[in-house]
Amino acid sequence: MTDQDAMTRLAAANPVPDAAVRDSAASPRALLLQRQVLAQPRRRPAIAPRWRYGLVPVAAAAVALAGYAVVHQAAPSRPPAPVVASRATPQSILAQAAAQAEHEGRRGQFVHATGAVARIVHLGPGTGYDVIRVDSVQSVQPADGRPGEGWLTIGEQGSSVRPLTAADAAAYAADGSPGPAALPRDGAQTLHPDLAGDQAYAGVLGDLPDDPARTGAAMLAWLAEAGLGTPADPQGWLFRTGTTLLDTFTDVAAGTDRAKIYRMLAGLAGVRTLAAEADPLGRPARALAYTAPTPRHGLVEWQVYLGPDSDRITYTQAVIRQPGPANAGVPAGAVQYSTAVTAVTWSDKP
Amino acid sequence: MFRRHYPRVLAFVSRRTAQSQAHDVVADTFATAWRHFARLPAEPLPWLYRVARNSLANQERAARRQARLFDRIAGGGVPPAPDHAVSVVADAGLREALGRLSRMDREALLLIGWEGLDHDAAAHVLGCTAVAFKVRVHRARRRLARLLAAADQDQAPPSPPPPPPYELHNAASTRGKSA
Repeated sequence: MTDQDAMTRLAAANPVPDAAVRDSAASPRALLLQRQVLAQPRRRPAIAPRWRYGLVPVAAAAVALAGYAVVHQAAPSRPPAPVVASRATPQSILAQAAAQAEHEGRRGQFVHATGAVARIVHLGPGTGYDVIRVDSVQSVQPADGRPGEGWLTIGEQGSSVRPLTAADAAAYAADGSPGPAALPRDGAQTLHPDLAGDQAYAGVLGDLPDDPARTGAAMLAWLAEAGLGTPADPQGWLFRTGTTLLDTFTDVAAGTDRAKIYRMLAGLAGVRTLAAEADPLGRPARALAYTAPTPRHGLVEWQVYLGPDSDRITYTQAVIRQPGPANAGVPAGAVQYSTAVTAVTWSDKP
Repeated sequence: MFRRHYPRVLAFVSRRTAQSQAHDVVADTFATAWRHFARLPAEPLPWLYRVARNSLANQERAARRQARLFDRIAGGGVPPAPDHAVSVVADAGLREALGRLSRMDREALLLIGWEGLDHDAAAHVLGCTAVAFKVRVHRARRRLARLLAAADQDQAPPSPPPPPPYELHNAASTRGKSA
């Protein structure tokens, strides 16, 4: 008997053929389970991409424009923002954002956000080459921490690909200039790729202490209690996790909880302000940064841009200051990934 | 996500545990997925299978604890429950061969043969690298083929026994008489 014969015999002995359960998702039992699961409070305050198909493409032009800007910013030909302290301190920026979050008026039951994400993707055999993939983003989330289901799509309104450097351009052309559909859609297709190997925080924001000096410690304690250990750089983990919890696309936190996170961020060591008074799209903004080494992506600077008159994060990017083993071909100053929010509106309809 | 993957997760679990418990495991799997929605990969099926495996393992541990408790209370031995995936196989030779494989080898083959996963996805379910999985499944296939061949040989219908001497004698006598 050959190996293949054995596998054929094994497949034939499948006790539950797929055909037997094909329509089970529409069964009353499945529908009841779905309702029960969705009725549970969502413990994670951030929501990852939920691919949806069939939405009417209404913002393609705006997203394409944002994507174009993101791509050009992501290219290393433009020097990265200089790391110079601005006049405002991180504490003053974050305290202002906390106050704005706390006093934000109710504007609707749902937050609608559109924008784009960009990331470097390594392609090709051998040493390969790098391209920048840009995808549109649309999200709708219940506002002010209301319970309920939100959704987020990446790439549904358009995507594009272009080589990272001139050297990559030649390899890209030789490879047949693959489009977005030809690129791998793996688990890295998220808003904020995990460059530092961070464990995700899934605690309840409302349970965190209001005292800013204890908020970060409580988040770290949650990690330890969940058996996820202690991060090698707790300040860096708190900065990345905190800003991710405040992300505009996946915002599901109430204003008071957002304020709590902003105040926690204000107490971190190593956070500094950037001199730039505009984000990479040229919009007025206040920028914060935290730089830390990572095991695989080298020395990374995480930059967060806040709108001038609100506590909303309008732009984030991870700038490679010194490449690591996972991105050895990426020049220093390149943007490993970025997110750009181009529009935020509130309504009572999801 | 729920509508797309519920049937396959239900099938995956039903192949590995009794029907009475399968729906609990499926419910646990999707509740976990909901709690960790932000971490779900673009293709969440291997992730869901992995969560379902963990839930099944928890269920098995609870059953073993209960069996030990029964054992202590009853003062007698409780035979260990056989692996459900093996016990539901109708093909006797295959059932015996699968039973002789290690649990991980068996699971590797089932992920390929029953769930139709590719090596990368199956490796994710088992929590190992794709290379390690490839090596494991290659060896497991060879073992399964050898065990099946041996099992078939053991179960082959015995060749008709040689007739007793008196029959030979009688036949020869008959032939001799008729000739």
